[in-house]
Amino acid sequence: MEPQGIFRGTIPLLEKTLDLRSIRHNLIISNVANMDTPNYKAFDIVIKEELEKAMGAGKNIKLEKTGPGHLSGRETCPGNVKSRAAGTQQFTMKGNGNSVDIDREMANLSENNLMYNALAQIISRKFEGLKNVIKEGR
Amino acid sequence: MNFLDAFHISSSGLTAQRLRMNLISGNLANINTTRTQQGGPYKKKDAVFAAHTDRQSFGNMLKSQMTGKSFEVKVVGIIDDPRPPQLKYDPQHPDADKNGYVAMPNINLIEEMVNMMSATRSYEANVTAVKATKNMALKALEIGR
Amino acid sequence: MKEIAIQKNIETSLSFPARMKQMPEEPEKSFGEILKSSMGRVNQLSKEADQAVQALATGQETDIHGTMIAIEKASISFQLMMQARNKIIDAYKEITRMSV
Repeated sequence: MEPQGIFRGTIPLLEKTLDLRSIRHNLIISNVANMDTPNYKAFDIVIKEELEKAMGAGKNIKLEKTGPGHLSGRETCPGNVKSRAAGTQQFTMKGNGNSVDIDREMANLSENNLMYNALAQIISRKFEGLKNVIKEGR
Repeated sequence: MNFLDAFHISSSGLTAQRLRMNLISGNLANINTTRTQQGGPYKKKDAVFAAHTDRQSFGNMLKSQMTGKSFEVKVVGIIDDPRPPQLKYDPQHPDADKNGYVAMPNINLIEEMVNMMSATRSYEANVTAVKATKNMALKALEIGR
Repeated sequence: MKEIAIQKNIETSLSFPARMKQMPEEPEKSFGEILKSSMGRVNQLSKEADQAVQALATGQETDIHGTMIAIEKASISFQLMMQARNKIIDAYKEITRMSV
């Protein structure tokens, strides 16, 4: 559904970015939970790449209702989010084939958390601004 | 997208690490056990972890494609260490064999201490992940306040 | 920029007297049609919010930020509609007060 009326502009972008951030969060904590699993390779998504893809394709995405349990036409997640194996900068010292770098994961977790909180706050401010205009400052 | 999943993933990590800790504690406690029900000395126990995709909570393929992958960790088994027991020469010991050697458990104290530190660190990392998830969810609830 | 967009929206719906004059010959949508489509959109947003809340309550989907955003959108669009309604009624009253 095309963003219409007063919800144009940055609000759809914020929605999509929030979705991407929460997907990335799930990947990061999967990495953390599996940091001792043998032969597990760490996953990550590149936010910029996914967002550009989403913003480009996002305008034409329409979810069709083909069954009663399906999601409505509200634009939810951008298409197919591809996650790839995070690049390993150097040799992994672990002998069990696990490629999770816990320090990198912790740093990513903090960064992602912060960005998610920031985006939630920003979209909240935007809505507040809209309400302000509607109430004409009263 | 799915915060219940996030808590579930982290909790699976916590459970797995706690199980690992229990095994390590058992190994340390039985470091000198020469007699077991199965006969022979105590064998060092280890947990086998495997990454698992939790398909049940996704419902249908469309949703899972959109919400991306997530892996929880499952303990698929507890195995005995196949290394042979250490032999100690002690003819006075009640479990000594005919040559005077006692089969001691193949548990290395230093190894177990390192494993314990690793399990503790993993446990703490998962706790941090749970805190982060909770923080994000609470922040999302404040949209529109 | 958003304020300008909203201003425009309100102005379009408020150009009631002007549109009254233009209605017979104007090929554009009439005021009534605009009003109807806007209310349909508000209704749709409310429905989407309801669906999101239902999914959250039954535990099917724990998309917290999505649900909150849907609720906010429904609330804001409803508020805008109410304000527009107030303005329309005020404008109408003003017109009826005009001495012919």
